[in-house]
Amino acid sequence: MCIVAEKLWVRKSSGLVRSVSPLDAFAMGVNYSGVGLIAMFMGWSYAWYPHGNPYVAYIFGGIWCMIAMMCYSLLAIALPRSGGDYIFVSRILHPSLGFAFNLLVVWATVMWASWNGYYMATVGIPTMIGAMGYALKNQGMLALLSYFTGPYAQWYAMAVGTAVILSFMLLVSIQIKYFGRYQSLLVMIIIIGSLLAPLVLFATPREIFVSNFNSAVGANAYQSIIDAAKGSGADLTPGYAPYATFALLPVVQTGLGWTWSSTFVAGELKDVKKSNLLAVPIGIVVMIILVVMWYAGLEYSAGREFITAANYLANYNPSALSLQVPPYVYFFASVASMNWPLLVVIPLIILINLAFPLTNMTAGPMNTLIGVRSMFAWSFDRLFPSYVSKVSDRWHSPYVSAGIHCFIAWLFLWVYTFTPYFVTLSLTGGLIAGMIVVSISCIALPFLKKEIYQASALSKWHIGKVPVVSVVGVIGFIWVMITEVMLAIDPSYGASNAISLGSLVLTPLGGFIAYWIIRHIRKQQGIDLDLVYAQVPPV
Amino acid sequence: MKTRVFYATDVHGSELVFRKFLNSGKIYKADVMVLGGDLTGKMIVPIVEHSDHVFSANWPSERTVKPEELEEFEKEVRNHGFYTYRTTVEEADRLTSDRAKMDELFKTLIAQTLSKWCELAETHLRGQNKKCFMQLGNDDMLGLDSILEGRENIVSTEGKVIQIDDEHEMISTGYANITPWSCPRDIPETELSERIEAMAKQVANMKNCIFNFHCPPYDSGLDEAPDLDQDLKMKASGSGVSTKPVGSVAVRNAIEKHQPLLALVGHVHEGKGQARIGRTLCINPGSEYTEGILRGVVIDLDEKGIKSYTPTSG
Repeated sequence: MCIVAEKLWVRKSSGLVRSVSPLDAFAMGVNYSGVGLIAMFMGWSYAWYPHGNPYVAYIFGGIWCMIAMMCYSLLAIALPRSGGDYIFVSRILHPSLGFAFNLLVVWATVMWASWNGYYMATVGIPTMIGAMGYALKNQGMLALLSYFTGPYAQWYAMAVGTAVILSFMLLVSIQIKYFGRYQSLLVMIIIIGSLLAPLVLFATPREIFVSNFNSAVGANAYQSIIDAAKGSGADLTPGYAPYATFALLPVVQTGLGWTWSSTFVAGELKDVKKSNLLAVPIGIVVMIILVVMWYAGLEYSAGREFITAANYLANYNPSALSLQVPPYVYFFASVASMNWPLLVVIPLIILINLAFPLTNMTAGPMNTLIGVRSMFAWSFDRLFPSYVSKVSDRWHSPYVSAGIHCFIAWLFLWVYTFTPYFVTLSLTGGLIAGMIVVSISCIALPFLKKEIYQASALSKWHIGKVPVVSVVGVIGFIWVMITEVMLAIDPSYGASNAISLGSLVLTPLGGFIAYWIIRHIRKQQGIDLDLVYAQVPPV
Repeated sequence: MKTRVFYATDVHGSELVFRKFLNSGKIYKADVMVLGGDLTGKMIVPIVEHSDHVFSANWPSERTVKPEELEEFEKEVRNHGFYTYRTTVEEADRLTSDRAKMDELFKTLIAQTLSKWCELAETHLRGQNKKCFMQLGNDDMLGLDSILEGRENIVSTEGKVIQIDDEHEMISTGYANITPWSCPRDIPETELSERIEAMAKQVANMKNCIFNFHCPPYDSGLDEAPDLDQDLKMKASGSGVSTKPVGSVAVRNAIEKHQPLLALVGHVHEGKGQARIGRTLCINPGSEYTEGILRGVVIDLDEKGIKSYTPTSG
């Protein structure tokens, strides 16, 4: 009946489980980051801030980002069964703020789902085909690319985007263990492809890369791109500048700051939640190493001047860029390997170029799952009607919330495809804004919710007399505020578009107002939302 | 006629959460308070006195406890759902190597604490005109039932049909289907089914009946628990911890067959939520006793049925 565990006497009872291993935590941490998308953000960094030092930005910013993301880990240690930022914030600050900012997060996940669909159609698939076409000198594949830019391009994007969004709905509807296996398999392929890319580049000296590139794209294409960029006003002078490096921080956050999703691990008898503490930093450290390898490999093989020129043209003067695919690391790695034996090149190029589209197919469903789970939580807390959390008896799928999420994502797909109104980085602004209140919750936890704080392992960690959780919260707050403000005001980032910026502000504001309206309506129905998080003092 | 019910479950020995439960009637203005099982703790923290009158304990990590800190430390341990036992080095070693004696110690401490809780409940609820119903759950040792019986202001509900107001009856059991830990009140599904049916056939008006079953219905969404391997380690995948339904088929069958008004369940702490099985609303408020949070649900009943319900987290 009894077991003895290190001077504690434990009786045989339910819930005594072993926590996940560090390896599982590592897998979760990496799984939640959009590895393949970082290649795209790399391109932006060269185009928008050619004098930014990506190594300093990613290492320095990455460490800062890692500490900031630990806000989620620490709150998950204090409240392991809470299930996410909505409840963290509702419980620690106020339910109106929890709902308001979670609404913003859910809105951002909806937009990301539509973005994933759009980019799969316009970038993911064409890049893969184009990279293979160039590397294998297959004119047939290159000819296919014209379909992605021709008169029916937008309808093609709608069709592919719709299929992608529907697939997200299907994926969040299957049992979590199958979903997990799907994610793990895809992430394995993504990691392998992403690791191969810089290794191939490191194995390809400059002169060979230049020769390959000219052979694939056209005579003297390499130099032509540099010349065209200069002619278009690109600053290709060498050297780094402090502001430009600093301005890369939102790119760093966008690339690295999502491993927080892996912190929801249940547990019973608890000490320090090692898996929670490990999952976030492990994921970010792996990503930093990978990204640094990409930058270094690209600059060694292709040259910084050329990469900057290509990305400058892709962003500011695409017609002058003699490429039919975006100038991302996967494409350049494919070109670097093109003279290797065919039996090696073909699977290599396939693996390398699967990383980007597959990232859409891992990050997209995860975002959708976050959105669906949030709606479940709102429904359980009576903020939303109970039918939103309906689960089908046969398939056990959250079909109502998944359907709502994907339908709205599909509507935004129309907006994305046919209008210029939503710019990409306003989406990350939405997600980052949610992190602001999480960091504030961290700061406030020891003071506003002493009971929860004292009951957790966090109460044992201090720097002097200051709780560690509050220190982490302050660091996190500063980090997300810097990135959020830069997203809002720096013209290179999309959120400065009035509609995008407006939606970042109006969504939580609308959510805040909506909370009080819903509270009033529920009161008329006999449901008192003030009870949900009301304090109950012990007798 | 309107009756407000407050339901919570799975306090697992946390004195802080139990004390909150006792105050829940006042805070939530509930007429009826129901505590759904798994009342007792899982661990003893020995506080070992050394020859120099300093005490040591290994919770949450190795530490010394000064005599003036003892009371506060013991309170903190109790708030987390554990028991304390002041002992000597020699006795601690003896107990560690003698399982039978350790069992006896557990029984003693659990029984003492449960009695103390009942006395606290009797005192606090005196004069409040509220009904308080309690039962033991599958995790609670056998032989404790008599402690809940014959109490002022507390009604022990295991195996009984109880009228909670003029319109609503409640049947209750804290037993559950077999778990990987073979808990004291884990029983085969057939036995659980017999227990439930024995109560159900005594219910006069099943349409208005409340099932107060500690174990949730199988595959209801309220019973998703971490999937475990043979070493009781959580299976993790790329998306996090894998889960599977662990509820009772007997409970599910009973709900499907009898279609009561309401089923209040617990047992799976992560399984908070609501589900409908036919006309029956099933609610698992979950449990966060380790965090000192009293999770529950406030349900307003009237002559037509369930007027409203609100999950709580106090």
